[in-house]
Amino acid sequence: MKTNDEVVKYIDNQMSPSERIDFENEMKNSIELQKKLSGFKKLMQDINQLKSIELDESYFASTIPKFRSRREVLRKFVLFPKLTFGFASILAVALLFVISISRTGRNVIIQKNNIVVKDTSSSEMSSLLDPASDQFNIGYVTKDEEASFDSLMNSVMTKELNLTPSDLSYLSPDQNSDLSTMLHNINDKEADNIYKEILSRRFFER
Amino acid sequence: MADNNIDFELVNKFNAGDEAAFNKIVLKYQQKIYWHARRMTGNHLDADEVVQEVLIVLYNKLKSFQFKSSLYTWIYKITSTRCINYLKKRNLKQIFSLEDSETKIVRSRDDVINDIEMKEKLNKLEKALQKVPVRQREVFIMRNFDEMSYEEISEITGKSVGGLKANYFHAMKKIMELVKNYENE
Repeated sequence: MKTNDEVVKYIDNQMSPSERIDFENEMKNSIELQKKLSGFKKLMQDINQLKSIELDESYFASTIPKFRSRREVLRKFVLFPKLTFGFASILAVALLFVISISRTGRNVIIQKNNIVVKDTSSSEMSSLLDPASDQFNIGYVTKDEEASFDSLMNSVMTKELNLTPSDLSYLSPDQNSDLSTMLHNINDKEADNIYKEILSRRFFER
Repeated sequence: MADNNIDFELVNKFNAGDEAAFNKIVLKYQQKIYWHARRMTGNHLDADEVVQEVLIVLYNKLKSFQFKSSLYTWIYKITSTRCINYLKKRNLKQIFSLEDSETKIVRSRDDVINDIEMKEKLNKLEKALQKVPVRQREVFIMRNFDEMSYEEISEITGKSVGGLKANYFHAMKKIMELVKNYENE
């Protein structure tokens, strides 16, 4: 049984003379092969007919006038390249001007409890934030805030280690010392023990 | 040879400023340009668009034509390139759905073939050819409609003869498959 590949080779005269003879011999006995070739021959006949197909003559008569008018339109565009360039330049300058105007005065939008900052340099930012700097308290912690942090820390540690208030007093012998002093006084072994204890309670006893 | 001499004269006249010489060149080759474009694009309106594009390129580049090949080969080369570019653009348009199916129906109705029987045959073949990849379709058209040798096709397309044979082989295989449907229709 010949494949389509071989049929194509036969049609395109790509077979050697001996292959061609073999193919033609097989074709005599194969109805399917004959069908394939007759289908293709029909297609080729149609192609040959279509080679001499006649078109409406008025179409070809209109090709040149159509081309001429189209070329005229294109020529007009080519005639004014300087004008086009000038117009484009003016447009670009105008666009840049609009952009620069829109950038000024839109740096900071301050609403109640909400500040939106856009494209602001560091000096501009400082001048905007300085008047309100006393409200930020970034650098120093007040005594009240320190007490509130201590209380928060105590409650966290009590919860994590399941400590009673007396255990807590053991852990924090000097209630007046600040957190940094307390941490400073803990040696490596104690810190390691506390850490292990927290880990063990958190992961193995729950 | 005589044909080449006529072309040579026409090109020289055009380059000397004779616009009528360009019209003569167009009259001589417009059918060949149209039919290649028509077979490649599969409809009249697209073919017409390609013809106009080819004529514009021809007009602008004729001054640089140096008769290294025949004028016909050179024009065919321009037509082939324009067709492929046009089909790429058309495919892009179709991907982004800038062209709806209604436009396609209008396209198929707008034709310049008067013989209804031939028109039907051509439409059927055009439909089948559109299913073949562009490069393969091009070789198929050049081989079967324009009866070109692989060497001539190679000169026009710039592809190797071996590559063209492979393209033609695949095109034929595809056409063989389509022939089954073609016969049944």
